Amino acid sequence: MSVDEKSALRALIRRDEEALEWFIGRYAAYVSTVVYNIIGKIMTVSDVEEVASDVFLVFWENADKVRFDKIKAYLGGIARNLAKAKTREHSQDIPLEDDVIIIFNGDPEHATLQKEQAIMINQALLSMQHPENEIFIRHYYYYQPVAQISEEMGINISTVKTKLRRGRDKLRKILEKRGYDDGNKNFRFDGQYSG
Amino acid sequence: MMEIKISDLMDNIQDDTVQMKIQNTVSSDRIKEVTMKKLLHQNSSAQRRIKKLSKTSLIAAVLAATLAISALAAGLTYWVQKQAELRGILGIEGKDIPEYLEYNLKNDGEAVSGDSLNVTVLSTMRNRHYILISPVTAEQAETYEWYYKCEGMIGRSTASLVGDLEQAYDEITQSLMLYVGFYTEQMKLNETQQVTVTLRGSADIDNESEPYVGAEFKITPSITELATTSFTFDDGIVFVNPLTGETGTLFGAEINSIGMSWVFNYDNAEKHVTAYMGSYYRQDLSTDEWEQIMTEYTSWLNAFGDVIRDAVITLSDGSVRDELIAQTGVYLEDGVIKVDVLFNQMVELSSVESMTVNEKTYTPD
Repeated sequence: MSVDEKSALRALIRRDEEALEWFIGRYAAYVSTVVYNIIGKIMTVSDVEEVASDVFLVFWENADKVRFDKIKAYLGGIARNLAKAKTREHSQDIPLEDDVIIIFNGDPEHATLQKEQAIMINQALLSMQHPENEIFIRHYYYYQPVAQISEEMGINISTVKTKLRRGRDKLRKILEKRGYDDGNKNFRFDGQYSG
Repeated sequence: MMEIKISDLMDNIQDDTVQMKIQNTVSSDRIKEVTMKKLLHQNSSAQRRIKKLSKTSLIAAVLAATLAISALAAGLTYWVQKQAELRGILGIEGKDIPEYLEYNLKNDGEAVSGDSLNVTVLSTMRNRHYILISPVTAEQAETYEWYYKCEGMIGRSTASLVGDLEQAYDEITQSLMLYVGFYTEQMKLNETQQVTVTLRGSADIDNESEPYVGAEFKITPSITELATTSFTFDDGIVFVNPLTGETGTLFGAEINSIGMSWVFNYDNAEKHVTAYMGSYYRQDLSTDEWEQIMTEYTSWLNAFGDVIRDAVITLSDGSVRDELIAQTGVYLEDGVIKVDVLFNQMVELSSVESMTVNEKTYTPD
């Protein structure tokens, strides 16, 4: 990470608006691409601008919580989540390949489950080799359609779908290993209630 | 029981490994402009601590203080004060906007006690109704989303804050100003028919186990004609869709007190708009067909947006209305596309002097 980015982040924490403009100049194309990939087909360019600008405002408000070697990851995550929230405002769902429904029993443990989920999904991604992990992230994190992944990565569509299926299988195994099947007798990974 | 999707599980990660192909659909300069404008507004709002009262209520308050008479004894009620505040927020104090109707406490808009909220209808602007709800705690005001529905409406709609939270919420009286809107033509209502509206507020409206507050109240939809001022852009402003290479034409605009409608057209417009509007019902389109139509449709809306991006309406006092791009509805009427935009503040129609679009200035028809 360059020295400039580090000092710009320090300036941003001190509420220096020029630092914000600097980061916008540096990351606006990336942020708007993340946003556009999620909402670009169902909303206007004005909506993309709005969400992208909100990303930088969130960054402005939370600069002190951002690691200076993870700025791009942070901005990408905020962009993704704000764009996702925007689709909910308009009651729009982005179609994904088998965006598997997982059913849990027992609300009281939900808070713990969220932390566990972070561990599990990271484990699943680490267990995948390239390009499987990249394909998985492009589709389920960045909401890129299969055709776009195929074009950008130069991999044919059926291979992309196969890699996604393998990624889902690996995620399932990790969930089973972490005891989700044991702790919830009526649960099956494919979302069917087994009684 | 709880359901989670893989895409929701991915909320827990951050990624900077994927090198995505950058889509240059939005310019960095434009994002910078929008962001810094919002930041400026944010900073200005943070400095405002006193709600602006209208001249009427201010004079009355001074009078009451001078005569050592309580505000109630001087004839001012909390209701009237909130109506005055609302006029200030909407920017209509002193303006002649005949479509804006305030409710008389004695006759209309009676406070209705719901299961946990009181609702008072303050005023109406055609199909938009401004309401005051209480009691609302500060936390509820900050975290709750508000939804409403009524007979004839498909699904539910979001009730919006009047202005920003600081303008809409009064911590002393624990009251919150919202507005709800009804497309009466679509709902086939008439102006004598009272409609019962169900309002509900919650931090997570889709979670039945989440605490909520709610109430029912009645409104009388108004379907009176909205006065308009029209602009015709000569023979039309021709613009190109960079994706398809085809041309569309922006014919003109119709301005009213609360917003405006752009009027334009292109080949295939009907196919795109009817596909999008009917998306809840149409089962005959495959995913690929749908994606193709939406890609083309969005490219047309973007091309149209580029033409009107810097358009402004100039009023007789020298002020302008800009940002005429944030659409609230796109629909077909008489064979052309209309794009509706709501103004942040209402305008007095007689004060509309000119409109500048694509660097050319037009006067009303």
